[in-house]
Amino acid sequence: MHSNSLQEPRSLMELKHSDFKYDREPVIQDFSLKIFPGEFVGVIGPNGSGKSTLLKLLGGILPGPKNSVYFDGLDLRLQKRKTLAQSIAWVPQENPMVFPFKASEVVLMGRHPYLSALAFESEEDCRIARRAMDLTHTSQFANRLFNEISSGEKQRVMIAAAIAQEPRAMLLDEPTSALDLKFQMEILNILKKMNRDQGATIVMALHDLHLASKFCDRLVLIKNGRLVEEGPPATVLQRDLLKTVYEIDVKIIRDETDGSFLISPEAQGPNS
Amino acid sequence: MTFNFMNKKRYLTVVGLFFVLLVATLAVAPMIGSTKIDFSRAFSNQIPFADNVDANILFIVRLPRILLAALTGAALAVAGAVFQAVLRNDLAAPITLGVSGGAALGAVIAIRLGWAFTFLGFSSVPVFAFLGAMTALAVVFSLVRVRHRELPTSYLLLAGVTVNFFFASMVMMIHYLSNITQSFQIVRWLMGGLDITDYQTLISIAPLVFGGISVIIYLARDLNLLSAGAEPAMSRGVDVVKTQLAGLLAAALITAVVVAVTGPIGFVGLIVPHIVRLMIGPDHRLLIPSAMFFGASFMIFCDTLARTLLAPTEIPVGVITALIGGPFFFWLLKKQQSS
Repeated sequence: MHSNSLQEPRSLMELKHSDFKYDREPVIQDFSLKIFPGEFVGVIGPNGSGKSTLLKLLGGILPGPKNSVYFDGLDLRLQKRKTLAQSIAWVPQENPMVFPFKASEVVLMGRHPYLSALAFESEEDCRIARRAMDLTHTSQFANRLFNEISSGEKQRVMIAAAIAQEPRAMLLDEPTSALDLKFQMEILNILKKMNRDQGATIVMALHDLHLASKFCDRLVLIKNGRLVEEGPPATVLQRDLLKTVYEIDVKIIRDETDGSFLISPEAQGPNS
Repeated sequence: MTFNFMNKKRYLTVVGLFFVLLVATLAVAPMIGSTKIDFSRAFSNQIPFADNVDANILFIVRLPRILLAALTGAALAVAGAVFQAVLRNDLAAPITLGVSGGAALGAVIAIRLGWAFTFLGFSSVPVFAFLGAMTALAVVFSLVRVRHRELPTSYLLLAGVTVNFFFASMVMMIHYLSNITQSFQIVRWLMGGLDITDYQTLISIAPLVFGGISVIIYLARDLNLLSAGAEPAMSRGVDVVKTQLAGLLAAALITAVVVAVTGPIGFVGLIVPHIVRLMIGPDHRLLIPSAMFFGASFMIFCDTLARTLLAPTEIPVGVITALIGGPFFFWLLKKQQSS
């Protein structure tokens, strides 16, 4: 221990040299990462680089090896699912629902970790769910069937369910994919609000590098399941780094109004 | 904005109504039959029971049969609802998972071999049918690999249907090689029926059916989340593997137990959960107990028709369940879509 080193704040989530394999195919390799309370972190990288798996490992949706995934300083494997669900919410990319549940019923499912086996949702649970729907502007279709609303509305309902879970950390897998610009901004603004007003820690996988730089405090760049670089957007969004990871040449333009970065792929000539 | 949610009041109203339906069915069904019975005579303690024809018909012929119908309907409907939730598929049911085919093969083997023994109050045919049903499920589930807790539904159903066909062919072969007496017994069993019943059988199967259904009721809210995906359920604190295992085992047990006694009665396990879902929505806390009462009432209703429509000839009850249930289901489906 160096006496001159600053006391580092305690991490909320941590991966320590984590590995994960699907059918012996390594997806995450020797991955170390700390997420601190109140951070807004973006995970970026090409398709199939392991972004979704990384989020699932952090949330304990996929079982990591022993002594490699931590929440609040404790090995995730040793914590009860229900207790964990009171602290971490995970929003998947797609939400296929087989049966005709109403949007409000889907949001109320977020209260599951707080209810004993045979209990019904209390007035308080309903109040919390209703507030989550107000926050995500989904109240107007509370009584519509989840299967019959648009994909942007579904995504917002799933975020409302995650908010109703009252977690300390939210993990989101491409929450804005397949949405138009307005819905993308709406969802990211909701997350920013959760982060700013309630101190929720946000970790999300994102394809859009510009939006990532606009909203995230810190970016985590991964390729082939390995950490390439992490840090503030200005550090990670470097021409040479992106060239290594995405295998294309890009121009990086700084938007002075908000400090975000526009990443523009360079047109390639027919002979290149 | 009305925020519809589950509470005790809604639960008691909905489940209470289905319970009343079952009580009414249970009360009316014994009065109907090919022979008219005099209830004042049946309950009279002046006449010795052995000489009391009305009491004999009521207590020995009709009542156990009606109670078996209730147990069978309840078990099949609840099992179907669980299979559909855990496999997240509308077509999951005892038949499409091979359970019925397995039970049939077991029963046919017992009849062909002519083995006669009793085990825990069951004769050889139901014991073999039970073993067959469990074997079929084991085969179906061993064929698929569970990847990260998400059951590969389409493979399971494909495997189930294949196992059912395979077993059906073996049933046909054994049937072909049987003598005329065995052949008649086999046909009779395969048609499914509630007629061969005594109280001993009821006492043997009732605790298993109620035990299985209790486990499932305990899992009801977990099933809601599971039906929305294994991983999302996990992120909300559901112990996914435990719920899948407990749910499937309980559903398989209650199915195998009743199918072993009654023979394969199609349709109830597939359609009753859908009918009830169309009436009251997909929440399993309501759906499971409601499907239990509705399944029981539906089965008693169908069996009453089966034994009276062409009296004194009986129609196999499986024919009635499909003939009544099919159009009723279409009607509900159409009504649902137009609203």
